[in-house]
Formats: sequence, structure tokens, C-alpha cells
Amino acid sequence: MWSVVVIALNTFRENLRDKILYNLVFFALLLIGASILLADLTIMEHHRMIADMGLAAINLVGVVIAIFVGIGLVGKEIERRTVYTIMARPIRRTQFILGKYLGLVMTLSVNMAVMMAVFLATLWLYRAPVHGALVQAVSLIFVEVLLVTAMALFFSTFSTSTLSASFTIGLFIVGHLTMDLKGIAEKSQSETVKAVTTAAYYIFPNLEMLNVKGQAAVGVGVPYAYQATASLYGLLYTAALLVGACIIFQRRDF
Amino acid sequence: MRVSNGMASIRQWLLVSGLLAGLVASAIGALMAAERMRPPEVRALELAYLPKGEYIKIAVLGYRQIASDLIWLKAVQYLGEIHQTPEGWLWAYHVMDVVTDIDPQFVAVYQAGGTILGVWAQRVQESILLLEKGVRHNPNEWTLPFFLGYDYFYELHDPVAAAKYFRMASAMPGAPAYLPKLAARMTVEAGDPAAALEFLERLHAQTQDERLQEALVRRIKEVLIERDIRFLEEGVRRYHARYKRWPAGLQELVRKGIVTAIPPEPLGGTYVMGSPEGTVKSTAFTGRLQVHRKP
Repeated sequence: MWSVVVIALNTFRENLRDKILYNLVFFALLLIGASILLADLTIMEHHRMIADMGLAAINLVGVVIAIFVGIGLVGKEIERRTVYTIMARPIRRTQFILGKYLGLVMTLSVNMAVMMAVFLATLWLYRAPVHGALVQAVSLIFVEVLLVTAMALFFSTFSTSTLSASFTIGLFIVGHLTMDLKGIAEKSQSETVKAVTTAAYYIFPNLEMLNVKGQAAVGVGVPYAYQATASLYGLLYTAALLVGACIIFQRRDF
Repeated sequence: MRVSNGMASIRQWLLVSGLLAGLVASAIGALMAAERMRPPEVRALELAYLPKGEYIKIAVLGYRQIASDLIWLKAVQYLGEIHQTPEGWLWAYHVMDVVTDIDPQFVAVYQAGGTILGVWAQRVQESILLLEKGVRHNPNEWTLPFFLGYDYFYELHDPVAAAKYFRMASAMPGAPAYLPKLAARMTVEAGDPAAALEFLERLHAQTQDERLQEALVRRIKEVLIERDIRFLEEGVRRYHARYKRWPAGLQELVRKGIVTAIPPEPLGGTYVMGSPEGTVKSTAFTGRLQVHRKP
């Protein structure tokens, strides 16, 4: 257990050394800059637009970091051959994978917390209303980011960085479209199409379940039971991906 | 030693795959539960939060067609899904407006949207706005002014404006040959149900959507009722002229040989004498269509 924490802390430190948190400056500038611009441009719904922008930016920045740092977690160690020095120690491969994952999760938590703070400050600065729904939306975004990180890590245990990135981005896009897959399944006349689309719907992650940005920006929350169930779904899927990543990494030769 | 090692690895393998299967199964379970719990407004109003087309157009970079296809796919699910409320239709219009902002050459959206809003949803103004936008961006697509003609003729009772659009449509490539004649008839004989019937049948043949066709069949039957009622009222008037009193029932017209038979009522009701005296009404359809009456 302790080795997991050590690896996690190391990964976190490595991320900081890679200047990941610099993205926060970019985020803050984008959000505040866009808000100032929008304040001049729009007459109504200015508050809604700031909320939209903020939530979308938090989501985007989180997912981009999750993907592009996530694919490097294992891949970079193998490319630089540093994985040998770790594997030579009494550390299990499972611990290595989990530690790497938790390290990036720590980075992402810090990152999201700062983004949330900047977001709330911007809202406060423009006297936009701050609803509980915004917190709900960001918490679900965080679950989504956890899931995407697990996807990236999973792919990177058996593929190159470039391919892992493409796979993860692909799966991310699919994950946002599966709701429509279900709609097609319900409406389809053909049993085969129905079976295939339904199966695909349950196999691919349904990221839309974690997306309530639209109504959160106008102050409409979702029931807590829904928030909890959707989060549980995201976390279970994440866990399944991590177990999968561990199994594959166990069998891998380098 | 080797045997027990083998046993251990099998046990571990079973444990891990059991764990994986358990996680996947509970994830699917949680997804199903979340689906049920997702508040309906999240689904129905998903489209309501769609930003304006001018923003989306920039955001989707070069992939405008794909973006508009995807939004349209979503909207189609939605249109089929609900027993629409007035707000629902307004949002449906909003979506179609956005889709055609992103891709103004998406003719199918104007066609489907224009007819659904006009025939089915009774949102004539929105239907007209959408179709006019379509005509602006697609000056060679004859179906768009044709459907506009429907809105003016049937929903707004303005045969003159309707005829203008039919003439516009008939000048476009691919327009059917019957259009100019139809336009002329509708202008001259504005009060004639026969012209309306012909038009509605043409429109019916032009539509592919089953529910729209159903709505049009209903319209056609209403026009048939109007035609029958006029025919019977004419008979009643002749009866009155001959016997100086109103008939007790419509069957009396047949008995006295004024009409040969009472036509069957297409909606399944019957024709009876109405009040004030001298009028005829249907038991199944109480309204009278305004558009086909001479002013």
C-alpha cells in the first residue's frame, strides 16, 4: 500500500516539474478575458455565458490533461527505461499502475480545485449568481475526468502514446454520442441493429450521464440521487478499466 | 510445489476475472439506474440549451455538415418522442433554425420542419419563417415554396399569397407540371373545395413521413366533409324552395328524390340537420373549414 502512495507522490511531483499547472494561467486568462469581452458584446444572458464558458473550460482543460498526461504515465517510463529500475524493486506491477493513476488524480484534483476557485471568483466579480448546480456539474466533470484518465492509462499499457491518444479521444467522443445510439436502438425495426446498438451502448462509457453543464449554467440542478448514481457509474467504469490495465500490464514484457 | 503454484495462479485468475466481471456488471446496473433517475427535463430540454447557430458554426471549425447532421439526428429523436407542448414546438423550431444556420443548404430540415410545424403542430408562423429562410438559401428547391403555399392556403386562409408561392415553385427546376394550373385554380376558385382537395392530394403524394401523411389524410377528410355538407345544404335549400318547409331529416331528401343518396361521412360519423334551420352538420367533425368558403 505504501509503495502505491510513494509512486503516486512521485508522479504528482513529476507532473508539477513538467509545469502542468501552468495551464491554470491559460485557463484563468481565457475565462476572465472571455468574460470581459462578452460583457461588452452581449446585452442579455451575460451571466449564463460566463457560466457556460467556465464549465466548458474546466471540462476541456481537465479532459485534455487527463488524456495527454494519462497516455504518458506508463509509456514514458517504458521509453525512458526508468521502468526497469522500478520493477527491480519489490513493487508489484499492480501497485505501479495504481500509484501512477493516483498521482495523476492528485494533479487533476489540485488543478480542478484551482479552476473552480477561479471560476467562482469570476462569477462573483461579475455578480453572476452562484448556484449549487454549478458545484454539481463540476463534481460530475471531475468523475468524467477520472474516467478519461483511466481510459488513457488503460490504452497506454498496451499501445504507443500516439495510438493511445487517438483511442482515448475516439472513446471520449463515442462516450458523448451513445445516448443517440440508444435512441437509434429504440426506434430501429431490425432486431440485429437493435441488439448491436444496445450492446454497444452498454459497452462504451456513457459520458453524457456525467454531463449536466447545460442546465447547471442556468441554475437548474439534478437530484442528488441522480448525481450519486451517475458518479457511481463513472467510478465503477473507472475501476473496471484500472483492473483491465493491471491485467494487461501484468502480462506485458519489456 | 509446482502444482500448488498452478492452483494459486488459477485462483488468482478466477479472482481477477470475477472482480472485473463484477465491476462491469455493477457499472451497467448503475448506468441503468441513472438512466431512470435522469430527470426528464434533462432529456427533453437538452435541445433548449443549444447555443445559437452563429456560435456553433465557429466552434465546429470546418465540420459544419457533420455538426448539423448530428444535431438534426438528435432533434428527430425528440420530434418523434413527445406529445408536444407549445414550448416543445418552439424549441423544436429553435433547433431547426440552429441546424439551418450551421448548414443553410440542409434542405431536408426545411422540408421536414416546415411541414411538421405547419401541418402537424399548428405553428404556422414558425413554419413560414423556416421555409422562407430555406427559399432564401436554396432558390432552386421547388418543394420549399410549395410547402409555403400550403401554409398560406390552408392555415392562413390566404389563397392569393399561396398562389404566389405556387407560381414561384412552378418556375423552379424539377417542379411538377400540374403546379401552374393548380396555382391558377386556387386563385380564381378560392372557395372551391375541389381545388383544395386536389392540392392536398398532391401534397400527400409529396410527403414521405407517415404521421404527416396521417395528418394530411385527416385534412383531406375534413375537406370531403365540407364538400358533402355544401352538397346537402344545397339539397335542403331546394327542398325548402319546393315544399316551403324544412325537411325533418336528411333521409327525406332521398325519399323525395332531391338527392340520390346521403354520402358516407369519411370520419365515421353521420350527417344530420343542424341549427340554425337549413344547415347540415357532421356528428364527427363539428368545425366548418373557413378556407374553402367563398367570402
